[in-house]
Amino acid sequence: MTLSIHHLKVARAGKPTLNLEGVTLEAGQVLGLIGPSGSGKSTAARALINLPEVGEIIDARVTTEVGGLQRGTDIGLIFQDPLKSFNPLISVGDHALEALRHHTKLPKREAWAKVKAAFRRVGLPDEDAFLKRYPHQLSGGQRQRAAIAGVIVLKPQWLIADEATSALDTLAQAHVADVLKSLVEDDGIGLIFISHDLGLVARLADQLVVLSGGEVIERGPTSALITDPQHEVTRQLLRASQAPDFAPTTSADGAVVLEGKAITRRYVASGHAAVSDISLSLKRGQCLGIVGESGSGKSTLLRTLLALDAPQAGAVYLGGQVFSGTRNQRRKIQAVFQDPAASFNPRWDVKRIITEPLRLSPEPLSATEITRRAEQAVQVVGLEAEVLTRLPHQFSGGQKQKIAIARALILEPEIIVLDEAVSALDALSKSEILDLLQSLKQSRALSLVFVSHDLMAVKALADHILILKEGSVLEQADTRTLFRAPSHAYTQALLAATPVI
Amino acid sequence: MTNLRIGLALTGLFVVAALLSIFWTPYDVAQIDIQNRLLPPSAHHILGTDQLGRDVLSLLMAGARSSLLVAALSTFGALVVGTVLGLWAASAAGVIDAVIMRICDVTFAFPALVLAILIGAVWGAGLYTAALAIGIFNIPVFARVARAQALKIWPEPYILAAQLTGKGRTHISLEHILPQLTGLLMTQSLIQMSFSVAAEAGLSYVGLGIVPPETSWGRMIAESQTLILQAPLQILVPCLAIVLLVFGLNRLSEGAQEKETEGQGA
Repeated sequence: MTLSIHHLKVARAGKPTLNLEGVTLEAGQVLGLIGPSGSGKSTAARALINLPEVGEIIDARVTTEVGGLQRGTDIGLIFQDPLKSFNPLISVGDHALEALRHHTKLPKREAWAKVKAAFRRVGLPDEDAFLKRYPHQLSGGQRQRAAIAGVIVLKPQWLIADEATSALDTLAQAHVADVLKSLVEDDGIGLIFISHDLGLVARLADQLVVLSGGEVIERGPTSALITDPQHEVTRQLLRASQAPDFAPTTSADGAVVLEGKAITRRYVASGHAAVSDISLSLKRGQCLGIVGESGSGKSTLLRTLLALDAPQAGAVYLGGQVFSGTRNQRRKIQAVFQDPAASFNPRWDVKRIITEPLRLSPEPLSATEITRRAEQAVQVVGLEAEVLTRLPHQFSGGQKQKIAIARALILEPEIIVLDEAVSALDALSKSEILDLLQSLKQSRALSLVFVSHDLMAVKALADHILILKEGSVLEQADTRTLFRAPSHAYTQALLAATPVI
Repeated sequence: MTNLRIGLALTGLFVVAALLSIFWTPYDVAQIDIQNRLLPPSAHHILGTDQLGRDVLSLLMAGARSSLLVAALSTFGALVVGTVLGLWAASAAGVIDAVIMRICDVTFAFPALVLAILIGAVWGAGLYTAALAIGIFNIPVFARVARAQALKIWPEPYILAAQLTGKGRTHISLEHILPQLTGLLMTQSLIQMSFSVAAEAGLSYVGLGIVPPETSWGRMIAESQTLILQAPLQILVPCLAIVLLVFGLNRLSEGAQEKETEGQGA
């Protein structure tokens, strides 16, 4: 079986957004679709299953040997956010059942048996109790596998996975990728795998198609394309996906700027410890990486380190003093958060946003001085002064994150805490932000706390790494040692699950 | 746009009539002229006269004034108090939040009528009693709206960023959260005003609101209800005025909301 996309042209508001020609996919193979943000990857996925939201499909001829494609029964789509693709009021099993009974007239008992088989197929439990769970009762990885079960229950010949693993933790991501791989290898499904994570695409795909501006700019077998890219955009993408390996900081003075001693923080309601007995220390000009999956206690630890919550046991020391959140202390430590879209008051312009921390400055500043500092701060992160009058929604994710860094820098703090600060970015923006952080760290002896579930990003920046699981430190070591000889089984699993080109 | 236009036209008409009545009405509303009672509409009395011979149009204009004054006072007062309470509840969370919201629930459970009887018993019936009773009834509405919206904003990372600059909860509530509630609170205010207009008419009808010599639509209805067969117009006119003003305020609120969403979409 071959899926042939003879041509697929899509336009939005009169402007062409996608022009795909002569792309073919064999059953039992994986076609990787890559490209920078806005290159038309998702448009292609949605146009292929004929979802109307993409814009106007001007011209489409997509065929197989047996004719056209029926959405659902011939071709299925798996979305990025598994929580959004479920109705929260319908159990995950009923979701699959509903899809199946919509397309086939199977009696309920038989349909239910098929749903169970599909859940088994994706490595989920097939007990009724599990199938009767609601989407929010599943973990992210389970939810995504349940979504896949809901699609494969119809036995489609073709599958499209649109960033289907991007929102997941490293281990869950590897697990979902394995499920997809086995569907291709054992069931002969043809998969179109769309992702900005080139490492993962390279691991799965037989063929690659590179999109840019809606056009195919390069295509070929995965190994050939990765070792010898022809087009500049492809080269950029590859460069950006290879985690930069900055030299570890040779600390000049080595003074400890931030220290946590036996921090414990429990939830008020349950008394369950979100973090227990965590000790850490950060030296001047160094970067401490904290790696942990969702639910590992990262966020709680960060709130404690930022003195937003007080620990119930232990203490945080800032420059040797107990960090209680006074103005003088706050000036020394700032933060950058994960979601660039939610990091700013949507009604404030960039100048007001980035000068907000200046209220902590020791002496009152004149209006001209405030403007000067704002201009200086955006310049440091590589933006023009003209951005100051614009509103946050006018910027891309990478630019927003630079603005967030500018806000964190404006008081010239000693420490910046970065909470998953590059996780929501595409490969190009991510490498740009990592470069920026590295240069700040070196030129200003800035100390960083870099929290992420993305081991490669942490590896790039961190001098010392702390692996967090279920609120405790599993392992901590300097970066080189940790990557060369991870001592804990969990760390080893994490390393193995991290895709590398 | 249609909603906004209809709302503006209707509400505007009553506001102008009410403002005008401060300086001028066709006849003095206190002037009793028994000889000319229950006159049908004519060139002299466009809407006729009531059972005491007073000009109905003049009464209607003066009634609009009481009606709008009570509605504005009760809504504005409740807007201020309710928003402060809602913001406070959202920012303090925990026990304070629970206490504020339970007090609101209890208040909400008391109909404005019962409150007015209570307050009237203490201070006597009158315009301010009515405004206070309706206002107290409006407070929980604003408190809930403000709290619900504020709770959505509190977990945003930019609030966290503001906390890192040492801003306290009050400061953040005023600077980051309140400005984002204005549109919502405005539409809610218009809805509460329309409710207050109806509530004031109800209170005055049973004698707990406006008392003579002031006049109000509710009183006009109460006074003319026994004459419904002889002079149906006397009861119809104030009823229609209430309906039109309530309808106008509702359209205005709807229109304002449309404009708000339009602005966000752009």
